[in-house]
Amino acid sequence: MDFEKIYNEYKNLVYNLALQYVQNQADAQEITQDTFLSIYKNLDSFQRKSSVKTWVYRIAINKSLDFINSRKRNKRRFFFDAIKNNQTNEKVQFSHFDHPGVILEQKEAVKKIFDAINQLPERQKTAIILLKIENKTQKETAFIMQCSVKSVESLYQRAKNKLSKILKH
Amino acid sequence: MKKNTSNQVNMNIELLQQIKNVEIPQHISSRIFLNIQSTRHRKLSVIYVRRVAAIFILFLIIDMSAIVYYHRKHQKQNDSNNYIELAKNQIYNE
Repeated sequence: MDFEKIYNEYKNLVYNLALQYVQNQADAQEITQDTFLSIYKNLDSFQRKSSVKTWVYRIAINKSLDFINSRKRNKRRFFFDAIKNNQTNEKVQFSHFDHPGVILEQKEAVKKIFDAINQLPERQKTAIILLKIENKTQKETAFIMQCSVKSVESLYQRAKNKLSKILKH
Repeated sequence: MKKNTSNQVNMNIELLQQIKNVEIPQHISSRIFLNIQSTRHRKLSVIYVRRVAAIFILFLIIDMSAIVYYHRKHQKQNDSNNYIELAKNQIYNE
């Protein structure tokens, strides 16, 4: 399998998926880079149990979640360091909303929804992104997430309920 | 009330569906390929280092076994020379 071919075919898919997870261009670029590096390193061990597209999706999702978790860890460490140095009044922003796919008029509204989506558990967030932004079918989402269609359905319902609760506040 | 909130969520989700797909910037592609290239070099250099190390160890083993072989051979010859000497002395004494 040719890496260059895979890159040309899926570069925008990976970049856009990363953007839905982090809503920031610089972070999405970093995730895209990590994803393709991982694809390159694991190309020999790809067992073709699934299609290349599904495999690329899985790697991109894992890299995005890893990136978010590492950011959270750094944020926590920074917070404790700030407490130690009595600098809690200074609020540090890590990455701001910078999604190039959102039109300016809808920016505030979409930011609000993404703020709510970012509060969801990882799997619920993935279900919402794949089903509603990437427009995947439930079957495709289930295959990418390696679970049953029923699980996807229940993840989506729970995500929707939680979103309505968060947006009500 | 509940229906209202559900409608609001649905409307919000509809907003998400209007997000456009964007193209990855060209400079990111170049950066990714540069990174891949350096990884490839690193991968190759690791393979070369491993090969050189393997050949070195192989030569070392061959050297060691040759030394041991000649040492044993030499010792055997010495032993047999000693026996001959001993036998000669015995015959001479007799």
